Amino acid sequence: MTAEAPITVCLGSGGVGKTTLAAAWAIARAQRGERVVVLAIDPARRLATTLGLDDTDAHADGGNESERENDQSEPGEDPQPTPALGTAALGNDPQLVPGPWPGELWAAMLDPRNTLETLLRRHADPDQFERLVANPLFATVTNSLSGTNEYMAAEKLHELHGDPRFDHVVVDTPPSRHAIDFLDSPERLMRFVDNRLYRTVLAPKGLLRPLTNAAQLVFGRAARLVGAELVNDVIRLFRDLGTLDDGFRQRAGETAELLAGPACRYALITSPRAEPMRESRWIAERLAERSRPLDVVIVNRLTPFGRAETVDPLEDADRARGADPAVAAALRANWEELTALAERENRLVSDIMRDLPAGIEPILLSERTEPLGALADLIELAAAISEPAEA
Amino acid sequence: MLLVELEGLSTVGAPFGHHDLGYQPTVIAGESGAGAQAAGAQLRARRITPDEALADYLATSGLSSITDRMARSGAVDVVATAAPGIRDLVTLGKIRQLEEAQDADLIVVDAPAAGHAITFLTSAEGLARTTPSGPIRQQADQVLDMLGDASRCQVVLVTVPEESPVTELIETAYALEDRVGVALGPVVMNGVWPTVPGLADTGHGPLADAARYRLARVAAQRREIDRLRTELPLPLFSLPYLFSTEIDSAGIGVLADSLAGVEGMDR
Repeated sequence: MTAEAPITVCLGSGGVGKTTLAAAWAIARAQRGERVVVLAIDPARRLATTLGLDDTDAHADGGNESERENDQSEPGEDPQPTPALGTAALGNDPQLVPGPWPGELWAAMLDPRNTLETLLRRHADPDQFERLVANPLFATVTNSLSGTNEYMAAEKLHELHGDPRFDHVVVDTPPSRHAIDFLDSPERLMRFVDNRLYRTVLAPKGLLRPLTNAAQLVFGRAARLVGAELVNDVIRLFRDLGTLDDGFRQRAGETAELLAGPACRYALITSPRAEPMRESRWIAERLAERSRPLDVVIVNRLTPFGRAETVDPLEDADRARGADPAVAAALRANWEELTALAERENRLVSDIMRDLPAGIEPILLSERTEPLGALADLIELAAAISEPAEA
Repeated sequence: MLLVELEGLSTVGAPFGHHDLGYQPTVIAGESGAGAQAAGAQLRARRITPDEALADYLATSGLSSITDRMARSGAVDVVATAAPGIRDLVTLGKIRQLEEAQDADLIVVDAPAAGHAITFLTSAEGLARTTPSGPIRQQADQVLDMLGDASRCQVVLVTVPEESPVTELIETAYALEDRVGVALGPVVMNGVWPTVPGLADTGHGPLADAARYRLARVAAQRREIDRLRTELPLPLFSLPYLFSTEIDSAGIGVLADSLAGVEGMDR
């Protein structure tokens, strides 16, 4: 086991079973004795439901959640596994999920605000931290407006990657486009920090230094668009952010490297429908552009009929006809509908395989007729997708 | 009729054979020409991205002279990073402008999925709180007026009869009500498997397995539909599963016929 945990990032469009498969992937590793944490960064709450950890207070808001967390643990203290999993909502601190595996399975759901505050506390002096959280924009920036969440997801990933409690991190990302935002977010933050204008605004010699004339001119223009108050808040916010210690920027750099580096593996999950396939192709292209390899492809939700069928279905119908001709006709009609669908699905699957990098053998999974019930279903699924030991 | 898509891959035009929609509207169905548009016999589609909406907004507000300079200096970047909702807001602002100009009898927007829909629709409220004055504030107020007026705007939530999507829809519905205050129209349950009359769980072999698969599938869907009815007091109607991997214009026709005449869909 290495000190830093390798990462599997699960990508895919909505409705392909990404969350379920991320959980199953983590269980497969736990069954090999690893200590795995699965992190959900999708704003929807599916992971907790999938693992059976949730649902007593589905509409509880984030505020209560962080209060509860504050009650439980001192800052910096290792979070304790919550004993009453049935009642606890999944949050920023990983929770231990009990199950019949030799390793450990932990689960966490990103809380962007909590993550940002932890990050800022580490890199700001106390006064600066107070000023930041008091800035009216801080709430806007952190309160789930797009952009911040993605960076906080990357930051949280970095944190879990370095956490000695875990051997492997599995990430359940939001549907495709936003997942790519997440991959780019550390670089975007660095680009932003390096922005010429931003550095002009910053006061290298202290916060009281007035804006340069050039900066005043530019912000005067911006003020015409968004109003002077917002611009002033922006300037104050960035002055405070900009004087965070170098660790902040360095951290973003490390996170960017982590996402591009060999520790990170990418699993693409798709289903045999035109739209998820288009999205998958798009994701694969974006990853290729970023020189990030695609390591695993899972095609989920295939119609399980008409593939490698050895029985002559017509004969079968003859047998069934013994009962009732109307029933036999219905059996035949249903069979034809399902096998025709399966054939169209096969064509989509071979199309996408042609477009994906050579050497990737897709894992094919059938559609389930029942929703996942007990953990036993996930364990069964884990067995189906389990890769050969040590990848 | 105007169909608007916002982000991600261009998909709303696909069933009509239009795979690349642009910022300018394209006629994707019905006759072209101004007469057809006036008669409402025309379906146009366009794709509104935040960057184009912002450029458009600056140009129409007489602020275009500052656009280039601001873009070059990175001020737009700085402000948009601090207040990222601006990108969502200018998009909503463009839709509002089309609505006000009565650009179409009905504007249908293909909005972002669940969690991001909330972020998208709360952008105006967030910016109205942090921006006391200026054109962005004005935009935010106008968008809030539109979102809060049930005679101008409603949200139609669409889901499929599966466990997670139904749960997500219920949470989204409550969040929209609490945080956006937008009127909720009927809920659309898409992809409902039709039953096969006479199909029974009998015998062995592939046909019997296929029948069991179908029956189990239909029963599982039924449970989710019932759960949604119990947990969310909104009118609900279903669209059939089309047994196809790609929706073409014939498929769209089937779905449109299913929607026709549904109460609340005619606004």
